[in-house]
Order: sequence, then structure tokens, then C-alpha cells
Amino acid sequence: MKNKNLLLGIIILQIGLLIGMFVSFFYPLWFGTAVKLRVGGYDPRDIFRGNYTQLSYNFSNLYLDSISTDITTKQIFRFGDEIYVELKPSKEGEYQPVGVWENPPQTENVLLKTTLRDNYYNYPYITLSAGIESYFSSPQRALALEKDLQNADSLKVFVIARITKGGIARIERIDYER
Amino acid sequence: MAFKHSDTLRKEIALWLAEGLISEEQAQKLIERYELDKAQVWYKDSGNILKALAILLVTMGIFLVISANWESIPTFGRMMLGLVPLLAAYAVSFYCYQKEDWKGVELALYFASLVFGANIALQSQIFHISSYFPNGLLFWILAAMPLVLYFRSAMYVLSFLALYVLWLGFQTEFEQFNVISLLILASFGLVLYRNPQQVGTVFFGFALYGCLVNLVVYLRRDLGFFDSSSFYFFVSFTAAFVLFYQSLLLLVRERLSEIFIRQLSSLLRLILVFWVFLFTFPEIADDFYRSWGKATTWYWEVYILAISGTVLFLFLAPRNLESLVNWLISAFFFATFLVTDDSWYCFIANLSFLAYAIWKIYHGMTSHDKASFMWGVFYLLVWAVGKYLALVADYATTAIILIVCGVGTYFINKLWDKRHEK
Repeated sequence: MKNKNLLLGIIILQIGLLIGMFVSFFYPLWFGTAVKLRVGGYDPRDIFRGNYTQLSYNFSNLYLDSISTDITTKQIFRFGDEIYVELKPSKEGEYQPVGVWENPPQTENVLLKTTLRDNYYNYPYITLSAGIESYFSSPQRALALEKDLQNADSLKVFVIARITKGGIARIERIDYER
Repeated sequence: MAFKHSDTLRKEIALWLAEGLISEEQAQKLIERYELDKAQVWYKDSGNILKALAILLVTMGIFLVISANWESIPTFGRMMLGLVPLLAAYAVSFYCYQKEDWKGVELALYFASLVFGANIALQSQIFHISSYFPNGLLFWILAAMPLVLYFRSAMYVLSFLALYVLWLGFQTEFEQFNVISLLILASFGLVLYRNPQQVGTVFFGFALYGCLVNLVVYLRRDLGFFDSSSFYFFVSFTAAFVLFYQSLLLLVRERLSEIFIRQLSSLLRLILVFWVFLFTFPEIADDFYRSWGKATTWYWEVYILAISGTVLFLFLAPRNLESLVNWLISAFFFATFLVTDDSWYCFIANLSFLAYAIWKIYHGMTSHDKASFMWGVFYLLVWAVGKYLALVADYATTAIILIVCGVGTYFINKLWDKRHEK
């Protein structure tokens, strides 16, 4: 019970975990390539972290028969399996998915690491998540952003994200275009 | 029994012994009489429970402060919202340590462990992390586990067991399984084995169930385990789990209050009996077996029965005939999953239920245990009422059965009076 060094060790372990977490969360913002992604979404609440806007991207739901891929409809993946999305900028600078890969090829385009949410046997449809689907903000701002996202005709909403060479993405900011 | 589990009496006995007022043998008799060597009833530790609850409420407040999302404050400042209480808790724990206030150390580090979770939530909020948040809960539990093992107290065990069950819920929802979950469960099991706690034992039951369900759901796709549209498997799985958990209780029964073990066992037995009772109705039995892919699932039943049976025979059979019979009757019923002819299921359920009721009456009679006797009579009446709703063959046959049951109950009562009341 009265082992000071053991208690100190546990405290150092806890602080070390927090620092490690901070570094892993922050380094894509330092070293990542900036990409501009069109988004849609709505505003729910997380019990531990407060209000956020649930974002969906143009790579969130993909039809395999309309994109370059090495994935067949006979493959069944498990939730959480890693899938890479190849993103290429359009003339307007907006990044679009041009490929989806289980084993990504060598390419000059940006590769985004995602995890699989859903796929179905014999059906060419896949749902992906890149870990940048939640934008946390105050309740007022989250509601305002939700309204902006619903006015897709008059206002384009983008996420400016940073993606590392390994494909890990972090949201930098939200951007608008009228 | 006002002195039961009393800390004051425990200290007094030690003092009397030291002063030579009582002998070792007398001290031991007093300890056994007032169950001073067994886990305390949870509400007797109200002082610490209230302190832990106070800390929990403050932490929930901190979570809400973080949830308000102070995005206008720079990142460093926002991180201080979580780090200041965490570092303050560490500082208080060291202050208490210097003062040799061990309870203070325990409470301060408990607060630190909870606020650690708030820091995880805060970081993932600042960086807009959405990738599989249950991992945040896992890191939180892993960071707290050394303290759970170190202090082994109810506040740590209950809080982090609850968090563990929440994490397992997320894992199951997303069909994920992490082998670390088994290690965490084993750690909680070890803590509770070494330092038995009543409420912790109940929480552990939920955690064990959650962990097994998580594993089964994960394996489902690979093994063709069961049809995902069917929840019937879980009805069966849950009943088999109750049997297994009841066997596990035997490992700590010597160190927990006898009344608590008896009440918990009765509750578990009631769940099992109710479950078997459901299948005495032909419609439910038919529906269950039609919807259930028995060809691919029976081996799990056998597996669970084998484990629970082994545990039971090793630790209980020589001492407790009643539990052995409970297990045998339940096992007999579960073994019906091996039967391939559908028409037998309902019959076996009725037979199991009646056999159990009659055995309870017989056991009550022979061991002069009125509670067991009355439970047997109660089960018999419940069965008879069930048959009033779901007829056996036709009206006339069911009427005869009910009349026989009624007359039988009257004579059973007379028999009890004749044997014991006089």
C-alpha cells in the first residue's frame, strides 16, 4: 500500500499516455499536406465531448464500379479494416476520390487512410471513415454549421484537412464558398 | 446482529485479545459470529461511498465544462482545463502521502483517474478526432488499471468496471474484439477474488457477460455462428451464462456474506427457472426452435455447461447437494438442444420444471427447510396456472391436472404440519 515509487511510476505512466496521445493527435497538423474537401452533415451530442457536427465527405460512400479499385464485390471486410482512398485535386482545388484500395499503388496523388464501416457481399458499395467525421464546437456554432450544411445550394462548405504521407488525416478548419 | 461486519468490534476484539481479556479461541468465535472476516455489507462503508460519489459528481461537472467547448481560447489554454485538476489531484495525493493519510492518497488518485478520462475527451475534442472513440475509453481504463490493482477498493472497481462494460458495449455494437478485454476482465477478477466485494461481484457478472457476448458477436461471422437477425440465441446464451456465473460465485462464497450469496443465488436461480417456465408453453418453444439455427450453435451450450459443471463439481458438489441438483436439472434442460425432434422440447421443459418443483418440496421436507418447501409449492402453482392458460391436450385433461395439483398442495401442507409443526 505504501510504495511511493510504484505510485510515482503509475502517475508517470498516466502523464506519458496523455503526452503520447497529444503527439499522435497533433503531428498530422504539423507535417500533413493540406487538402480541401466538400462536406455535408448534421449536429448530434457526444456524452463525453459535447456537441459536434457529423460530417460526410465525397469519399464516405463509394460505388466500386465507378472508381479505380482492387476491391471486388466478393470480398467481405470487417468493420475497422484499413482501406486507402486516393484523392486528386480538381481544377477548383477541391479533392475528389479517384481510387479506393486495399493495397494502395505508388501514386503522386494523396492517399487517405480510412477504416471500413460497411460493405456487402456481391454489392459494389462501400462506406468508409477517415477519423475526420466529427467537428467539435460550441452548441451554438454546431447548430449554425448544421444550417450552413443544409443550404448546399447557396453555400459550399469545405473542410481543410491535413493528411500525412501515411494517410492519417486531421481537420485544420472549416471553410466556406458562396 | 448490529455488530455484523463492524469495524469497531473488530478493533475492540483485537484490543481485548491484546489485554488478555479473551482467549484466541474466543476471539475467533466472535469473529465468526459477527462475520468480521468477511466482506463488509456495501452500505456500511457509507463515508467512503459518499466521498467517491462526490468526486464522481465533480468529475461529471468537469466533463460538462469541457463539453461547452471553449473554442475561442487557444489550444494550450483549453488543455489546461483538464490538466490543472489532474495535476492538482497528483499534488494532493503526494501531500496526503507525506502526511501518511492513505485514504487521502486513494481518494486523490481516484479523482486523478477520473479526470484522466476528461483529458482524453478534451484532446480528442480539440483535434476533432472521430476515429473509433471507444479506443479513448480503453486508454482511460488501461491508465486506471494499475490503481485498481493497487488499491483494490470498491470505488475503483465499481467505477472502472462500469466504464469497462460501457466500452464492451461499443465494441459489441461495432463487432470489434480486443484481446486486452480478457486481460482487463482477468485483472478485475483477480482484484475481486483477493478482495471480495458484494456490489463488485454483481458488476463483475455484467462485465463477464458483456465480454462473452462481445467475443461471440465478433466470432459470429467467422464461425457462421448464428443468424444476425435472430435474438433467440441470446436468450439461450444468457440463461447458460447465469448457470456459469452461479458456479463462479462458489469461488468467493466463503469470503462474502452468507446472506448476500444466498440472495444472489436465489435471484439467479429464479431467472433460470423463469426461463425454463417460458418453454413449458408450446407456442414459445416452437417459435424459439424454429427461429434458432441449432445445428451451428449447440456446441456453445455444451461448452458452457462443461465449464460450469467442472467448476461446480470441483468446488461445490461435496458440500451443497441443492446446488448440484439445480445444475443437473438446468443441464438436463439445456441438453435438449441436442435433441433433433422438435416435439420433445416443450415436453422436456415441462418435465424439468416439474422435477425441479417436486425436488424443492422434497428437499424442504427432508431438511426441514421451509423456504425451499414453499418455493417448490410456489413453482408447482405457477406451473398449474400456466397450464390454465395453455391447456394440456384439452379442457377436461387440464381441469383434472389442476384439481390434482390443488388437492396435492393441500395434502403436502398437511404432510409438512405432521412432520415438522408438531
